[in-house]
Amino acid sequence: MNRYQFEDLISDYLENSLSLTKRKEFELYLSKNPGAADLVNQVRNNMLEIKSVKQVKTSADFMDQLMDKIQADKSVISKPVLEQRTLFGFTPVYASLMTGLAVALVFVGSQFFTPVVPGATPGFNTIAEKKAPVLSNPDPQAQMFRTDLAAAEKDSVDIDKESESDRDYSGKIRYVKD
Amino acid sequence: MANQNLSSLSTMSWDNSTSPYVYTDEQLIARFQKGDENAYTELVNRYRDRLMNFVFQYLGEMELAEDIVQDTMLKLYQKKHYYKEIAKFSTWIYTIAKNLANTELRRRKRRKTTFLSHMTREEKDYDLPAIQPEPGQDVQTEYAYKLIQAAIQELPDHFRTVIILRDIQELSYEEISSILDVPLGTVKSRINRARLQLQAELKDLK
Repeated sequence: MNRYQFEDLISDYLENSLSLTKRKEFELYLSKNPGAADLVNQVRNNMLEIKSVKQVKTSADFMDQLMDKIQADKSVISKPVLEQRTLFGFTPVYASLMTGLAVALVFVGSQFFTPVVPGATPGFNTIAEKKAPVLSNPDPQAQMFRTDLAAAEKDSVDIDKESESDRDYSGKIRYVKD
Repeated sequence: MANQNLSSLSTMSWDNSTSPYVYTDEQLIARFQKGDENAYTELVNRYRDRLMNFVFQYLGEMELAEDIVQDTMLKLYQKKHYYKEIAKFSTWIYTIAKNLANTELRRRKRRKTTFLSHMTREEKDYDLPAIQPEPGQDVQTEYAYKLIQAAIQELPDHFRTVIILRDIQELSYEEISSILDVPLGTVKSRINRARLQLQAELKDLK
């Protein structure tokens, strides 16, 4: 047995929890090392001294103070329950904030859509119709302007038709060799 | 109604036919969990001084130790349903007290470090109060007691706890192992090393 092994077994020796062979080995080491025996005796004495240490006690008003603490703790727990009012899980402040945010979101979202003009028909045939939609109570000036536009458009369509018939050269062309 | 029960707790006593001493700690906590507040009073009376000794030896301050014991009892009141009968009640209550004492110790160490860092060079040269025998009747005993107290305080936290639990509180190795949540072998090794270190400390102090 070396010094480290000896030191590791001191408590077991003093508490009588060593096996017989280990105990014999330990006592053999003690007999060969007087310093080791002194160490064991000192540790034993310290253990006895520690056991005889004066015991302290709680004060006389310990129980009263404890009851005060329990009472205070109970009132702390019950207070917030009375004060807390919630709307769908939100406190009044947060509920108002959330409502404000929702309204703002709806307003901003509505700005992304163009408003539908009452009386407008889907799909336009002419430029005139496109530019000036027919209103239930038409302005005379706008009506006139639309008529002019329609006339001008008709003229241009007629001219195009005429020029197309002018351009029909069948029967008019003769080849040089003929 | 609850307040009335509470205020009458400290004055209540059990009649002879239902003496609390016939109940084990585990039976008492079971009764308390069912709403019997007399059982709580009995548990407090059983453990207040034992815990006081443990916490006082651990922290070295009477007032602080009493505060921590009260907090432990308050926790027992608040968290009574957390106790399950798989462990001994004593182990459970010691664990609560040890955790609260550890929290206080950490807080105190943090405070101490802050103060030292703010000190000037001259202020840092301080002496620990000398332990001198006082005149009176049990001078020798008082002196020996103070020496032991000082030596215990000098031990590292993990050694101090095991020495108090084993040599002062006389708990079993198994109980200490449960309270500290460390293996039995570690507890044995720590106790042995703590005793050797304590012997060296006391040698220096004497």
